[in-house]
Amino acid sequence: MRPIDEGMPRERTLLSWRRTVLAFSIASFALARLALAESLTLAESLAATALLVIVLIVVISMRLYRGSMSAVGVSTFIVSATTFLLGVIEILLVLKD
Amino acid sequence: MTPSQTPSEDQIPSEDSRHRAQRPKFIYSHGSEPDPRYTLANERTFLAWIRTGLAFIAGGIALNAFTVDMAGDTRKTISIIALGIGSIISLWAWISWARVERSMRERQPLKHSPALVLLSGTVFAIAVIAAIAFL
Repeated sequence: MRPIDEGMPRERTLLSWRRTVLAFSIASFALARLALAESLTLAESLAATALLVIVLIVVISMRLYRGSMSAVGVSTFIVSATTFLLGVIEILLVLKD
Repeated sequence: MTPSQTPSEDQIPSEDSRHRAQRPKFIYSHGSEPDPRYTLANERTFLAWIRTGLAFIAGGIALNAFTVDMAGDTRKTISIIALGIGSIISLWAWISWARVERSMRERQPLKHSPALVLLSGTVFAIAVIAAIAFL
């Protein structure tokens, strides 16, 4: 009997999304922690935004996994753009020091 | 992939793959839906690049956060380089994903990317600068 999902590509992709969410969480909360030295409001805003993006990515990846969503292009763009913004914000914080 | 491993029509979850992605239009208005396994592999490659970018960003944050004994502004410079590279990689990841996705849809050969060579060179350069700064 052949497996329904040969090579489990969907499951591997979901796990890949999970690893990315973990990496994003670590980087964004580390940034929020660093921003605490600058301003409490900035740190809270960064943490809240990060949390929102994390929840969004988890929901999107689950829906992509189930095949009930058609937004792979949009979701990859969101992840790409937020990671880019994370880097830019940190560069600004470093330059401000 | 050997011919025996090539998926037959009944193995491809065509309906769900058709529903998967409609935007951006400059990708999905071209060609036809490729084997979903290849699009998923492209998605995983994108995510691996994003994690690489995040690793650079986390490295830049760590270097800035911890007190490291380095000469002059070296710590700040390396931190900014790492953060800049991480940011560029995250944007590049999406561009690369989009190019590959479109090539697969149009049944065209995948375009060569110099990103890996540049990435290796950058990592090597950062390591050398950091090593010199520590001495």
